[in-house]
Amino acid sequence: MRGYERHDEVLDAQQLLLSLIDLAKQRGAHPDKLLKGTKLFYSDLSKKNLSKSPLTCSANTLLIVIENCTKLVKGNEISFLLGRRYFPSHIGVLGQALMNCRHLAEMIRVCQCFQLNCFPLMNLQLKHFNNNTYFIFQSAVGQLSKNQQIFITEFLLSALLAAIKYRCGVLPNLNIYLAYPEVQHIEQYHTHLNMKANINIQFNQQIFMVAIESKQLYLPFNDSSTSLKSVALQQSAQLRAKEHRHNFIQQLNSYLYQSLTTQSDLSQECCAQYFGYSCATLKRKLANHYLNYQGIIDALRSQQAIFQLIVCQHSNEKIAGALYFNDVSNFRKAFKRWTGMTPNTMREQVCLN
Amino acid sequence: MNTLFIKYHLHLLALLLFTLSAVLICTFSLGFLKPSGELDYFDALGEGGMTLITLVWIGFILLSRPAGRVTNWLFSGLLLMNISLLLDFIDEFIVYPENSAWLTAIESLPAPVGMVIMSTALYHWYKEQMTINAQLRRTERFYRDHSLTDFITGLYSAKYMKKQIKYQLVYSKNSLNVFTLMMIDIRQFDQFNRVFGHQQGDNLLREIGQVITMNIRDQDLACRYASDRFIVLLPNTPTTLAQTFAWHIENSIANLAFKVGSEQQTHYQQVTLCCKEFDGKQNDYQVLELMNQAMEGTKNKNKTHHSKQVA
Repeated sequence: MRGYERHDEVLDAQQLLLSLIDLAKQRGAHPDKLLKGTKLFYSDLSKKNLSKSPLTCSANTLLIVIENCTKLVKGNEISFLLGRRYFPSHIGVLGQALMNCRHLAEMIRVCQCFQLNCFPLMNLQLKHFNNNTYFIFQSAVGQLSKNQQIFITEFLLSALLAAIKYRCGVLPNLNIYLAYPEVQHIEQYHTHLNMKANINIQFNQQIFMVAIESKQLYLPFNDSSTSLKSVALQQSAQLRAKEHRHNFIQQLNSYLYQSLTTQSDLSQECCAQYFGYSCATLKRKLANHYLNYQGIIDALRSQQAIFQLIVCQHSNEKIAGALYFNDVSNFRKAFKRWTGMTPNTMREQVCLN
Repeated sequence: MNTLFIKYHLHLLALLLFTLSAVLICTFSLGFLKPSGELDYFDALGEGGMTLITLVWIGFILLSRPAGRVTNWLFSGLLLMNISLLLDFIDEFIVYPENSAWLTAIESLPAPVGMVIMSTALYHWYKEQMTINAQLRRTERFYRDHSLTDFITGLYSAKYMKKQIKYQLVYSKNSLNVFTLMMIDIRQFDQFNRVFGHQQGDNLLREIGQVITMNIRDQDLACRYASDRFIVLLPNTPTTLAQTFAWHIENSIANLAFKVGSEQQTHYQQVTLCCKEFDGKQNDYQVLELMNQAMEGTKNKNKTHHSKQVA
């Protein structure tokens, strides 16, 4: 099953694009300037769609509009406003399914199964440790620019928090780890994300992760209906194309993750063969995502290392062993190369917070 | 480029086109082209450039100003100067017969008249700017930067406030004067948005912003913080005094009869306020963090207070 890629025009993102552009328009940006570089015009987006197939666009289009938006619009609230409006109205019939889930865990499961409809730009991975559940998010469409990374993170967080608040009534305590250093517009985090109240946000952690108590995930919602949910899910599944259920980067990551844990052949040739491509095609596909093969492997391993370091608080020896390093000094060197700091510096930083 | 004002200036544009074409027709019908050997290209370039630049100025005046007396004066002054310069420019290419030499004689006449009109216009522009400045007080302090304004409310944004807090902290530390920050949060703003839409939510924000500026002193500064929060800087003010102002603001907003579009029904808003005094010992980041904690504290206190009332 082929996964969708950055330039595949498979995203049903007309609603999202329109509401993003409308928000920017209300703040003085010109719609066609926002769409510059996408080969789309505002009139294409807003006119009535008479053909049966809905207007689709590629993830790249979405990323270009986001980049334009961060440059053209003053103030940084658009990502938050967009996120707050996203659930449940912007995701079509899937919103219905999500509204009728029994608890948060089920909602997360639905999101994972319908990733393309739900949130095509990020992959979600779950990890459990010590009665806590960790949502680890990763770009699903390759390398992002700084602006795009911040915008998408803010959007995703406010959508997630809005959905949790909407369904649970109150926001549980959450720990959020962000990959980028602290931003200028911290006031938006204070108001939109309740930072410093019951949401604890830490910047500069080199990983994008949300931690929640596991028991919060299974608190039952009062107004849920299994039958309505299954009907909505069926409808969503019919709408969903057979292909493009997952994305290429995710498939690649899970293949590499398996190879890493089973210590099998990690070579590029082997990987290309697994996906049925030639080596050159694989390279070209990665280049389309602004990635390289070794970079992906490094990112995977660094993510594992960071998780074990800041969450499990394992010693260097233990992490080095778990990641199949020959000795600790090799691990320390590699960690410094991945994150720009030694494992001990990161530990100190976590303790300070 | 925002061309909103152009549609109020169509008559001025027509006048401009008419005058310029009249000058061109007049000169070309009266005179003859010079032989190319006699042309002084250097002179022509300089004079042509000046003519063009005054035209650009006229364009900017029409783009940036609403219709009115000052605009008309600025326009006519510049137009007269432009006519002089244009005549001068055409002179380089055309010789007039003996009986039409009066054209060269009067060519420098419009410019001084235009300059006098321009000077009057600039004086009135200064007056106008003073009036606008008076309207801007309480939303601006010592420093102007249009790139820091918030598009929705027209107040300055949090970025501007952060700069001002930085200055105020230094000042307070040196002068040992305390200052107070006040944060104002609209209650149930999310619900308002959900019911009436975000466009109306933005309108509500704008009006509440105006009510806040009406209730503070001239030396105070009100800015939009983020989302449904406003922040007010009260220099040289202890908390006790700020509490009184807070009470005024809370009352005025509670009495603000907001109407959605053309509906008759009014919607009254409640706000949560908190004030905190600072003496310059903290840095600007800590100040904002403390403000947010104070806000959360007030919100929680209000919640328990309300639930007690219900019980």
